Amino acid sequence: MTTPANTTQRPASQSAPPGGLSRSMIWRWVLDMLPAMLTPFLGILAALVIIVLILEWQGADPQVAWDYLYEGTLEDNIRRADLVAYWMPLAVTSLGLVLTYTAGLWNIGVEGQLIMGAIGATWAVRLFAESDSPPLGLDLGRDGVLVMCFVFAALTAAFWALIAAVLKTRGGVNEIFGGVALNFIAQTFNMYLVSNGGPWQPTGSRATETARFPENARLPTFQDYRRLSPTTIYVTVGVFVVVVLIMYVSKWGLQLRAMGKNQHSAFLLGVRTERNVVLSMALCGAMAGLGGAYRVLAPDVSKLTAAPSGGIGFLAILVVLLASMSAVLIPFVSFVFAVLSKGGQRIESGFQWDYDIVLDRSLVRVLQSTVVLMVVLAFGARNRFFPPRSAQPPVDDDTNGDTNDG
Amino acid sequence: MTGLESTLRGIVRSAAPIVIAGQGELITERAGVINLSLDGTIMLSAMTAHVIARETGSLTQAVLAAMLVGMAVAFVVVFSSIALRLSQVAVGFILTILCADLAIFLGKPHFNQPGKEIPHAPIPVLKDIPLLGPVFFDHNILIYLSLLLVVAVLFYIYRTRPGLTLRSIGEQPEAAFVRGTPVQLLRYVYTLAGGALVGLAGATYSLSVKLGWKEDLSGEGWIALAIVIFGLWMPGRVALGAYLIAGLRSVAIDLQDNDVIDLPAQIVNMLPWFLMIITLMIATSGVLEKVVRFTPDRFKPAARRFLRAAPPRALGTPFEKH
Repeated sequence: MTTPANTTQRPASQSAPPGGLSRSMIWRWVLDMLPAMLTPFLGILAALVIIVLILEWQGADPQVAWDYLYEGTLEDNIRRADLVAYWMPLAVTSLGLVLTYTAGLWNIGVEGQLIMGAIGATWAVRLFAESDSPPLGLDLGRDGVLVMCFVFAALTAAFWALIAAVLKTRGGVNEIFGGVALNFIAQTFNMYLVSNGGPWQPTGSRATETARFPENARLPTFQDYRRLSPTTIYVTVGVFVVVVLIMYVSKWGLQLRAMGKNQHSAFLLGVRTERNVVLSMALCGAMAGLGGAYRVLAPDVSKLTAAPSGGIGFLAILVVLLASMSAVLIPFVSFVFAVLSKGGQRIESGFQWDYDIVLDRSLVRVLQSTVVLMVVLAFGARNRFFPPRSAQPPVDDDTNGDTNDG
Repeated sequence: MTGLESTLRGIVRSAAPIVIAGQGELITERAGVINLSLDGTIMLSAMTAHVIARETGSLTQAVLAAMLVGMAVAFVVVFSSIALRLSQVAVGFILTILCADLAIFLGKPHFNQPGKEIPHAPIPVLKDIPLLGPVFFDHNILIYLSLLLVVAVLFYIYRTRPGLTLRSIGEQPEAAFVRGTPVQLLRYVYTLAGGALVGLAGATYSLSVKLGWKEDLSGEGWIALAIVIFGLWMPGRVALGAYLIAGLRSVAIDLQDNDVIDLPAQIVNMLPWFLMIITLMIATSGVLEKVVRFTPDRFKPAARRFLRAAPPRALGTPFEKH
């Protein structure tokens, strides 16, 4: 819809003046970018205010809580190593989710995929590494066993994600509902394996967990930090590179973005949407499965417990939403969330011992989801009331093209 | 009371919260808004009702507080959708997690404490009718409410003028707007009303069905959401779905106690979720259309009316005035 008045001659708005960037343009650019950069901080600030209010209401000093948070996560190298050990599964799961959320797929089933990964890794341990005589009679050595663990974890979790994907593409079941149901099924299946005389519970044991894994199924650790394994770091960095390549270099990443914007248009433009749904879900599942493998193979765990995920799958969804599906932001956001989760344990125990205040660690989970909610709301408010230039309706961009011929 | 009577009575009772939440979500979705936060909202409102009842001793205040919680959460969903144009699914999901964690955090001191119960109030004459009496008229007021609600929503949506308007803003908001309907305002109203009912469902859990606060409500909200799809956004069928789930659960529990069939408890726990997947597949995959096609011509209109699967056309989409 253009009127003849503005079809006359206005230069395209992007063309820079001949002498490079003028001062006013830089100033305008800064003004444009400022809300975008400030918005997340406003959201985080709002969330912090809410949490401080809750702390005051519970009679806890926010300053002390902050000190505990630091003390429990970053104070010395051992704590930092523990933090990294917690960070890795969260990061690798979040990286996988980037692929599905970019494509507009609400992979809520990631929690169940993580659990299936944990189960898959344990299965591999049982097949290849039982100390006396492995059922398959193969002697792979420790490296071989660990490789099989990761492969099995990735495959079982990818299989679990595939169920959700096929239910969506062929069964018409929305991935949210399929995912929720598969989460509960995976959880219950895990419980079945390790509880009340389940097949993987050692005979005579009453604990809801498997026996500790044999020596040849333990991840190598750092010399000084016995709870952190370098293997998880290498694998996660590898996954990070793969996801960044997919998202920023490959054509497939572009297809996923197009699907996220509008799946139907992408389909009309020749994107094989159904195949991409299945592929991105399976890849995401495989990465979540690696996260599950980290959780059970962690040197201080080394067994399948009743709740191998510990809510990391849902946390990863919050990470991806907060990072607005940007692969390069994932390491930072997941690090901050790992600090909060780890610090939450110290906050709980600290207040209990030193001040006799009962402050459940679920408080930090409240903080995490409040931050995400507030940042999402802040972005919504920004786009609504201070729209960035690119989001404004074009005024004169379509006038010099051949779009209107009548 | 015979075995059948007590089984059916138990089903009516244990289905009540899902019926209430399902009707609430149905009203919301019929107005074109998805409130995905049900799972968290039910937990938070159940915890609120339990705590308020314990602290003040007033059950009325407890129920009202739970409904307010449900409305508050619903307000965030509808405000962020209409005023901020955010994705209802995204905000709803974040709220699901937030509310569940908030319920666990705030409810910790009251965890596993004895709770107050809505007094049992059998209806004098009606309760002596054989079969129907014990099944429908031997409960407390919240359970009666769940039964009345289905009738009320059915009547409201299909037989009243405002009900027609409600359907129109979920199907054709533009047309409704042209006819002078305040679409955005009504979406606020119906989302809040639906939220209040979801809060009421939470209160029904903690004050009547699963007495007290035990954090084991996770999943109920998702079942309610799935039942709205299974019920194809029709009040009667949504209620039917809720009773079906409750019935299967009670059968499963009976099976578990059965000595002949040795079923692990976990299989029983998985059943509702398998059922959820299967029913959603049936409801959305076009199987029903085939059923309609193969029914004899005489019954085709009836079959179509009962089985036609179509979500409100404007569901989940923001409405913009031009």
